[in-house]
Amino acid sequence: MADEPHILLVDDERDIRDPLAAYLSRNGMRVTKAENAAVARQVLSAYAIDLVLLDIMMPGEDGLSLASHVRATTKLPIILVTARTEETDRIVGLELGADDYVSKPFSPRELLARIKAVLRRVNETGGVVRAPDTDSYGFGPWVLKSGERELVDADGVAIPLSTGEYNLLHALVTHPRRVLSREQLLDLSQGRELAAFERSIDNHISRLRKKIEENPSDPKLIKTVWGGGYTLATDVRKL
Amino acid sequence: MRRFLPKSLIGQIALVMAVALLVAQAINFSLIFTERQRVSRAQIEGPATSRFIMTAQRLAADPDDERTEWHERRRRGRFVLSDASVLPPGVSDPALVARLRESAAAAGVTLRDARAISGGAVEPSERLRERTPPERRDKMERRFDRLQTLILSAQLEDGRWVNGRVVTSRPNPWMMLRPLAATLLTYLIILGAMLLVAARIARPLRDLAGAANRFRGNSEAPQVEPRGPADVRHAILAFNAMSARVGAMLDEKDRMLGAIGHDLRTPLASLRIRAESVEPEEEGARMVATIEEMTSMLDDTLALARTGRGVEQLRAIDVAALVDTVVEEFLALGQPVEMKPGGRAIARIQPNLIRRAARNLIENAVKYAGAARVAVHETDDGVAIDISDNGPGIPEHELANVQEPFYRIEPSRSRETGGSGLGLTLARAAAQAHGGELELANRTEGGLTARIVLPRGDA
Repeated sequence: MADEPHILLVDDERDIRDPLAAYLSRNGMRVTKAENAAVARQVLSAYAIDLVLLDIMMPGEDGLSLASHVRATTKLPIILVTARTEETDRIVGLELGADDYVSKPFSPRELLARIKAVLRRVNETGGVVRAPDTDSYGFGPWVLKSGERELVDADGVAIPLSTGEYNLLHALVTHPRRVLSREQLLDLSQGRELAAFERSIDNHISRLRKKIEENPSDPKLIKTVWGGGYTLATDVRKL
Repeated sequence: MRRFLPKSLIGQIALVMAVALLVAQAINFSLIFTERQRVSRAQIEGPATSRFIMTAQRLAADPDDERTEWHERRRRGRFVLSDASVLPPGVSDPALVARLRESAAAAGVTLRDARAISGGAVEPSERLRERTPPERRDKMERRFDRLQTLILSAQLEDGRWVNGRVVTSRPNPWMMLRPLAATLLTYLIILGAMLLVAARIARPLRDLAGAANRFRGNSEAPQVEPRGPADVRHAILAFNAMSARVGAMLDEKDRMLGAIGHDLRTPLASLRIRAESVEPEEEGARMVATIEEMTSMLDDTLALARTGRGVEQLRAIDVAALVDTVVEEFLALGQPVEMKPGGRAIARIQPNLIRRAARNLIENAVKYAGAARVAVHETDDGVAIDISDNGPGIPEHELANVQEPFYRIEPSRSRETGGSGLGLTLARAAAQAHGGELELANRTEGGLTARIVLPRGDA
């Protein structure tokens, strides 16, 4: 990867494309603009792109279709931009293999932070994009659904989790019966959302315990390991 | 009393039909019953009175005949000529007396007086009992059970009385069994047929009502299978067409709202990006704040336009945990919002709608009172979300007004406090979309409590 990451910005709106390209350029990125999916395909074949920033709603071939094309032919990370805020869009986008998602109007600073986070993650994994998790994990009486980002009990009642709680629980259920230090938990759970982890891991653990433990003062699922961190003390079934 | 009456169409038809039929059949049956009884008595009593009159005639006609008694051999009647009646006056069976006089008139005999009763059972004599072999005794006794005695007494023209005991058969007590059975059978057949017809009308009507209730304004407009009588089928077809039209209109509205949302968000996004490079920086920050306010206004307007539209699926959800995640958002921004710890509170809700409603109410509390306390608890038939503050509250007469769209208590302060003017309206619409309510009340110790009441649904 070059020093300046090369971003492909696909948006049919000039009013977004131009100022956003200018903003990203000012912040140390090389930006190539495309106003539709056809141009984007040409750019993709002609340049070494590091990340695709993609508007979902476009006339002609839409962003989702282009995203699945990119995912099928390359390993490039994708961040989707949408003017809608409906949950289903987010889920569809993430299931298609997008790495992150922002909705209009977004703070350009936040977008920049997310681009950097995704690029950093790609760097760390050696260019291999980790497809976002859409699996469901059963543990104890609970099921954690990654696609919908929610926790469901045995009766099918959904227990909403904050982003921080979800990320932490996701880190725990994907590493069952392993002792995870606070630092590891931070690394594992901070990936997608940045703002969520201003409060400490311990605080989130105690909130999670209140939601999932039968007796939060005598936890059976999330156990504290003295001097080590936390562990999910149960088997996890992938559903 | 009223509440015991059936309310459904089929129930009412059944009840009315059953009662009307019962009355009609009862009248019919009683007519048949009297007629049958009359005929049966005439058949039994007619010959007996005729025999009595014949004998009386014979006893009275021959003044030389010294006999004052006449025994019928086979029929076991016994007639006595006497100076007095064996029956006291006033005990007579008028129908039997009438029949006696009828027979006398037919025979050309004039009676000065007539008395008659149907007397009791007939006992077999000792001799007959002894002569009957034991295995046939039961049968014999049963035959006697079917017999009765008539005691007849008539005063002839010369003042003498003829008293007679005549054995006849008893009217068959089971005589009415067959007409009764026939009546009941008719009753059941007609009632069953009526119920069948009523059910044919009522069931499609019930389907229709169910579909109208299920209609949540989304594109899956409920279609009812047209069945039943033609009138009902027409109503169902009309309903289907109407719900399809309404669904299409609402879909059109949604597409329009989506387009408006998209078309407004894009320039807002453009402004938001440009605002980042505005100098001086405070000016840029102020622009960002304005843009964000416009965005939330747009979101609220779109959300309000879509409430009750059933865009979101109802799901069983722990409302306490849901509200807790909203509180967590405020805490993450360093705002003084406190969540009272409590147990689970489960209801079937549209999570995003309720999340938005709770967020609006907490935002209001923080804005007007500086801090908010949130509690979620189960009620008898659902869940209540309480958001309380220690602010100035709302004057009692304004409590209803503030829930109206864009209503502000103090117009002069509106720019300062900001907000879309839709927060409470949206919270109320969200509660009502779930069949619940938004309740605003000033607390006695000062401040306001906003309560979202949600029914449990079928959770």
